[in-house]
Amino acid sequence: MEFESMSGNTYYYDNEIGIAFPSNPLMKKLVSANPRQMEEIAATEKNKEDLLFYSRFLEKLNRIRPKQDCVKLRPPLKAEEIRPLIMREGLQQIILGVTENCNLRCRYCIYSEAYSLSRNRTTKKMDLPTAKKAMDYYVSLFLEGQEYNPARRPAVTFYGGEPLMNFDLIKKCVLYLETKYPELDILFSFTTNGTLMTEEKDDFLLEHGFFVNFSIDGPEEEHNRKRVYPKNKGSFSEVMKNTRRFMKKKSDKCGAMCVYDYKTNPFELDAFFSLPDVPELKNITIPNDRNGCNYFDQFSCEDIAVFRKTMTEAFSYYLENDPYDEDAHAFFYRIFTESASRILYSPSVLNSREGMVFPYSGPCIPGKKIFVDCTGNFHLCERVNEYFPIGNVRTGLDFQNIANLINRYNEHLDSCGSCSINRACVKCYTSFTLDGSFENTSTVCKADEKQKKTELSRVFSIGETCPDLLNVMVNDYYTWLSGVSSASGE
Amino acid sequence: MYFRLNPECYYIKGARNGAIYDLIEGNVYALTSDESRTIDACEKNGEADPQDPFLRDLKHRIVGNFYPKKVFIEKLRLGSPIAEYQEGNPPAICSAVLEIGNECDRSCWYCGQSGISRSRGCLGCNIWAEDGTPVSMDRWKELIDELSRLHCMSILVKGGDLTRDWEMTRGILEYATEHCEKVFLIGHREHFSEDKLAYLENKVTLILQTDDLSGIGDRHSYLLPVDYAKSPELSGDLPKNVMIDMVSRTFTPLQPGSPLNAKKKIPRTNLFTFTHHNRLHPCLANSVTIAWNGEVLPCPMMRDHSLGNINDRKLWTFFRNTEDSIQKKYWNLSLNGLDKCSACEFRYSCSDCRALETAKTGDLKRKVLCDYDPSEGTWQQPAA
Repeated sequence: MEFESMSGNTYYYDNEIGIAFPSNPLMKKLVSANPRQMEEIAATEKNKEDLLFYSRFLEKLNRIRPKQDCVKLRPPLKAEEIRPLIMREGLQQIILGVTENCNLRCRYCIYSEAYSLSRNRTTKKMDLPTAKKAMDYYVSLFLEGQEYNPARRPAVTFYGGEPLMNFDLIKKCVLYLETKYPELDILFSFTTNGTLMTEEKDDFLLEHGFFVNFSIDGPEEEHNRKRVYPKNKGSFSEVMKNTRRFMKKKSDKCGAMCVYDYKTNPFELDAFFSLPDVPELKNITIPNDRNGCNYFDQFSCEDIAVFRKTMTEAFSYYLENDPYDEDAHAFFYRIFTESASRILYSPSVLNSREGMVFPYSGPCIPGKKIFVDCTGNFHLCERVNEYFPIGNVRTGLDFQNIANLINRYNEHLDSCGSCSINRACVKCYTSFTLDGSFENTSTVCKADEKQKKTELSRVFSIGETCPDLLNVMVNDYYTWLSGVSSASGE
Repeated sequence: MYFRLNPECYYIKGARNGAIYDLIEGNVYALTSDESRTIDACEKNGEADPQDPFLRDLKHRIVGNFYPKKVFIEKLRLGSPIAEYQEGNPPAICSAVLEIGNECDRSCWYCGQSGISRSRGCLGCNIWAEDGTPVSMDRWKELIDELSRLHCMSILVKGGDLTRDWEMTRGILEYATEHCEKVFLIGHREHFSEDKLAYLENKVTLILQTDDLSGIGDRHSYLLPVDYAKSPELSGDLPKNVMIDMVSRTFTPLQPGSPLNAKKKIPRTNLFTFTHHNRLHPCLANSVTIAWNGEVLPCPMMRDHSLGNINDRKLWTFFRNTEDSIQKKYWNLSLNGLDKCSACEFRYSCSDCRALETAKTGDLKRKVLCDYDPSEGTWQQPAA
């Protein structure tokens, strides 16, 4: 697949190896040539030096090229294979859905009327016995799983609805875990709309080491366009009052989660999230335009065109205005640089699909997260609808059901083998789930190649302008990528 | 014009000079300081002279190319360097050494009880003058179970003359082969009779230690170990699952003039070792040793570096995500973290033996068995 950077350079994305490299007409001819065509090219090409270089460069790559057509897909998983798999790779987090109620009516909420395949907001709350059973079960698996993966840290997340509508349960859960399992260093976290935070809640959460994610969509007008109370009153003023109070106590224990859409002005978001009294932007998402979603019906083709044009302008502006300054460009830094780094350094290069649980796409093993709903049923993830349960607090994880679920998911990857970007695919369950079944990739993934070209174009445009910028996500081990020796004094 | 190295070619800086690593061809090109400056500027997208003979030579070697505009070169690599993809991952244990005995009637000059006297002493059968109670048969089997749960890829069984209690050795070997894909047994050549060799055939790979070439071949070699299958002239009548660990008095890195790392010994590179050595120690990483008395060691030769005893703790507790874990203390000790090596452009292809270095200096992070001075970019002259 070919794509162009902003400067007009052409690159070829080699899906079998998983990287892109500069291309030109000669390289393009050689990439797709058969032996007879190679001979013709060799006879007619005038620049013999380039011919030799590109031919031998492609020969080098061919030596490490995984043989895509020889990938042996593993047979369907059996229930008995699931338990050790989860012991080793799962159990990273339990998410307790402590309430299905919320005091806001955010327009894009997956539990709103905008999503027909998700449950709606209800007044259900989780009770303490259910929560205790879920936590005890998770801890028992975690303790057993330490023998398979000792490097894991237990993590408990509280989810809703708005989790603070059942704050009493959150407090009891935390005290229960800390009393019963004092030897475990549990990581607590939750996401809140921020409107119900109080001094007392701030203090409790900080005392118990919580990291608090506030949902903040940007400046007042932008935030209030989407995050509203039942009678359409915006929630911005309460959220920011509470957030700023929390930040004064411990600014490094909170962050902002932002959702944008086609009516968002990226320049306004960049200015807002760069303010010193706004929490550090941790996550940016666009609402999930999946099956059963009508949120995007409100946007016209013109809205989308204007948004894309503004984003392109924002990208150019960002690259020309000190893109290294994370504080001055909080939104642009996250949405352009961090996401580019994530794309560039994904684990997809030269990875083998041989024998993998998921030969294509990027879902996690069911049981990596365990989402527990108010009634004690276990689900794949908080973002997957309730039609895919994987067990419950009474009988534990259902390994047979998990095996079936994985096998059914894999059966729907009908077009992945021939996809030109399959090595880079990170799609997961949420892209394919219907009401209990999965949609085929041949239906869902039609626009992916175009989207990938846009992403790669941005990544390589950043790389041409400021190559070091792409190392922001890279950990200490890999500082060598910048070529600087720690002892070289540079 | 601009000149950039190919995706598979990395420029690594040292204190004075640099080197180019070609991860597909395996070559490591040592550059002069002038060449290093040229490549350094090119890799920062500085303009390049298309007639520069050095750059033209690199193009001829398919190491880099000229481009009319600034380009971005995505580098070839394995895995992801982003921390979040690595957090919480289980430890990758490639090999576990189980020292199931500590008795032998021989008194080989190269045995561990005489001190560290050779390179790759870790491959020796070695006994040690140490206190302690031997680990029980049941506990060894439990350990093999624990290693199996940790997905350990290979087990090396060793510890003096293991034919003295052949029943115990057989019991442990059979249990190990049931739970692990690859099992090795290390011992001295003279301990293994024909019937024992026949018993072991197709069960385990045997690494036989010897300093006596008779019956094996008379070619002088210190390539250790010698793979039987590839060197039939050295093998005599040994079965196919046997490798020879040939020990020679004439070559030991602890003698003056025979450094472990020298100009002619820079190993070739490849995608795996380059990626591995960036993050991890080239030898200690992905390995653990359990001594005859239960002490957990980073290497069979590093007897003073015990992390604890498996009679007190389960094995997995040594791999917890804590500061005193074997990963944090030893596996992560990449050459980037060693004083001299961090300034050296060959640090991602080079080997290193911490057991030899610490025995020589008493310092976990010093490097003396190396002929190269990266601050000057010069090699010492070999001893006459």
